[in-house]
Amino acid sequence: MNSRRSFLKQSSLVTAGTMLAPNFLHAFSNRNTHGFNGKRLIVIQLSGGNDGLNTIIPYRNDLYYQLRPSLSYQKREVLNLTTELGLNPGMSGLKEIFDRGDACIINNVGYPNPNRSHFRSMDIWHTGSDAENYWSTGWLGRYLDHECHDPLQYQAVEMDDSVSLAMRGDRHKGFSVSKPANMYNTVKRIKLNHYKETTNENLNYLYKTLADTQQSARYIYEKSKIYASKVSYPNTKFGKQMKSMAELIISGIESQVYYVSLTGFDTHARQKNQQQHLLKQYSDALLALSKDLKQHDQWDDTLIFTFSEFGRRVQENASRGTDHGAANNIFISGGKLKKAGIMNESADLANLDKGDLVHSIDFRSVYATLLDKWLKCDADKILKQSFERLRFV
Amino acid sequence: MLKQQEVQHLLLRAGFGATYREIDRLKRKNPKAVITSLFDHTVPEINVTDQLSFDMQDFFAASREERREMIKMNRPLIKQLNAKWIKQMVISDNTIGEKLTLFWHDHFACSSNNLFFLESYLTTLRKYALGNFRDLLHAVAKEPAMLAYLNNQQNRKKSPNENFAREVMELFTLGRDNDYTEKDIKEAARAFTGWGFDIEGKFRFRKFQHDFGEKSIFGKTGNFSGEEVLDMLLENRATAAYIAQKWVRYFVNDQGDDVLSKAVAEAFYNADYDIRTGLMTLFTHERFYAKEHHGVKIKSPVELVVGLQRMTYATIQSDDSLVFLQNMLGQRLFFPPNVAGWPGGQSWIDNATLAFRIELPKYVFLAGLIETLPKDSGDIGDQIRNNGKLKKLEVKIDYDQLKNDFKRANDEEIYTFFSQVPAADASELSNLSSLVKKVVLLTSKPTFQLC
Repeated sequence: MNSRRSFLKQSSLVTAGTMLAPNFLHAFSNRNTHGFNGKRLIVIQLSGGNDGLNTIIPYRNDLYYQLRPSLSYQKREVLNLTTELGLNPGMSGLKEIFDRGDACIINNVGYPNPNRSHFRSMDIWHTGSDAENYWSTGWLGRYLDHECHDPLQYQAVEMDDSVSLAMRGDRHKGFSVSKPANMYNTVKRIKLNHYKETTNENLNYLYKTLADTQQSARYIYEKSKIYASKVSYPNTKFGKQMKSMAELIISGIESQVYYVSLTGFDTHARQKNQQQHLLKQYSDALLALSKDLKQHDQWDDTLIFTFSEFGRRVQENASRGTDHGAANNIFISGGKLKKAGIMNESADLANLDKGDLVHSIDFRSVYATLLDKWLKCDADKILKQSFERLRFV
Repeated sequence: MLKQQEVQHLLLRAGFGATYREIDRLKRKNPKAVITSLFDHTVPEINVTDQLSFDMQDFFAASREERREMIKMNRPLIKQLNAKWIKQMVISDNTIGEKLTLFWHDHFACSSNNLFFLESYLTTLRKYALGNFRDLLHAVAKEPAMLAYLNNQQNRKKSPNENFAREVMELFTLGRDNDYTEKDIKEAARAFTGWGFDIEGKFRFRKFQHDFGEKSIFGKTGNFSGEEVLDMLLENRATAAYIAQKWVRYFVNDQGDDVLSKAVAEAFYNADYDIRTGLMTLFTHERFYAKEHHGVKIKSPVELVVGLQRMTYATIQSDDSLVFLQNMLGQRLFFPPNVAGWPGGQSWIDNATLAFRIELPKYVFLAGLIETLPKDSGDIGDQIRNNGKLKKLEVKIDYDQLKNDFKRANDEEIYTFFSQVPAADASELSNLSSLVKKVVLLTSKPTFQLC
């Protein structure tokens, strides 16, 4: 850790950038040692509302087969996890991780008064608010605000061309790293050498963001050339994002939070093939990532949290698809889980609320656990409320 | 007479900015006359459903298959409605009406996947944008889009839903935790029971769902109707103060200006919520022109995209291009993040949106190749998503007009036109050979993100 920091201080590329910028714009070249504790969190978002019931399949439950005459998977098709539950046949990758004891599945995660709109429910998951409140900052953004007095801009990175609400705090925001070279080329043209701090706070903010972006983009671009993965990832946008994430991690970039999304889960019609295809992509990429990180001794310091904005209606619809639902399962994986396997009771198909699964674990309990026990910060402050901690880590 | 910077300040804030020629023309005029003339125009309706061969009633009368077809026909029209609205902001003479419509959309934040609902909601915002806030509040509260968005269709005598009543107080009138109690919300929710809409997409008061009983709201007791609750909210000066404060943050400075808010609130209330009177007070007040308010607001994505076009004779042509910009920059009209609207200010800017803003002039003026992709919302029915990659923006630029505008302008004057932040160093323009290069350089600057 110290050697990385001194790399940062000495690196010619950083000094090149900072020499051009006035002092107040670049606090990070002479930072104190606060920051990376070696543990990183990866958040994977399955956008559109993944059907959890056809992901973790209750293959011995008669109700499942009754409610899903055309969508259900037969016992012989599923990949057995326990005597009750099995994985979607596309998920051999996750199965391998699970069998290794590196995965934990948490059922029935949600929140009171579930909202069935994609936008609103995603908003709730990103901000960590109640269904009745509207917050403008994300839970990971508030982590940055709270934790870092002067964070590296790339403390939290997103493998995309935009930064999700989850990663936006009041003062600090996550960093989009999908094309660091392009980003650096874009921002380096703006000269900062004559800029003086003014009373115009928004102007200062723009210049500061620019200076940080110049330095961070260049740093990440240089880092990204250090290691090229030889592990095979799915040849899709998501697969490539997972691969470049692994490359950044293995190259030694000091980011604590990584964010990546896979979309297409809004399966109102002809769900089966599409969902299976997506889940295969997800789980193959996850397995590749875990192999990559394991080979380089980074797996034990990594925790991966996968969620979707809601689960889907238990009963299939007339188009061989499913409509928006409520509670859902989430997945945790990593090399150092305290509890692996299936963490809690499986979905209760006999007691539905308007046709939807009822949550028994608040999603913010998962956040509180990740923040408190993994990232070691004041979860209650960040979530503005105290939630029960879980035992997976 | 107003100085050049002051005219620019006025037109950027009361609108989206104007051409160099227009600024030049206005700075020779009497300020009061200039401001009055800004209010001189009407806000035209924006319509796309007139292209359809069916209306809402036909839709509900149709069979399953027919409906599916109709939905297919509707979908591109929401994108079109969105784009048409932006195009209207670009060409409009009534920039203050357009700017206000945008304000009301943020204030009465609302979303729907129903084309008819959205069009009707927008029509109401535009109809009353510069009228009376009382009419606007009453009309918006009866828009099906809003009633559906705030779950008032489920607000029935036997099982009241408080969402609508809560947001009416918290977001539309008094402001959060200001002069109302949880009990006021509960009782007011009863007054709004039965407010809903019918299959034609029209407001309907369903009297069998309405609670005609006695209610106690704001210390008064009576058989109040929903309309009476809205009027009680307007009677409270706190409502005028809340709107005035939001206007000042929107038009003047994120940090507010107490003297100005107070003056505007008083004029607004005394004129019984006449919006024109409130805003005339704002734009004629000396505090509006105070130096510390110049160049301190970060342009919203819509302000940036519309303003850039209005200042340079550029017009972005395709609906896909306009929607793409909204998706990349993080402000999608008709799809605010939630009922509280867009948080605005510094929240518009992160490393990705800033880099995109810096590249934008290249896409507009130099046919630059786009390499970024907006994030997919996940919603298969997302009405304003971009399908596939957009390689270039479709833009038309009237270069003759642009060159003509600046033919007698020196570099310093060009610089000043594109930057509201003082201390211009125009020397970097001197080695650029063409006007377009100068425009690209100046509109790529961080200073251009401010108005």
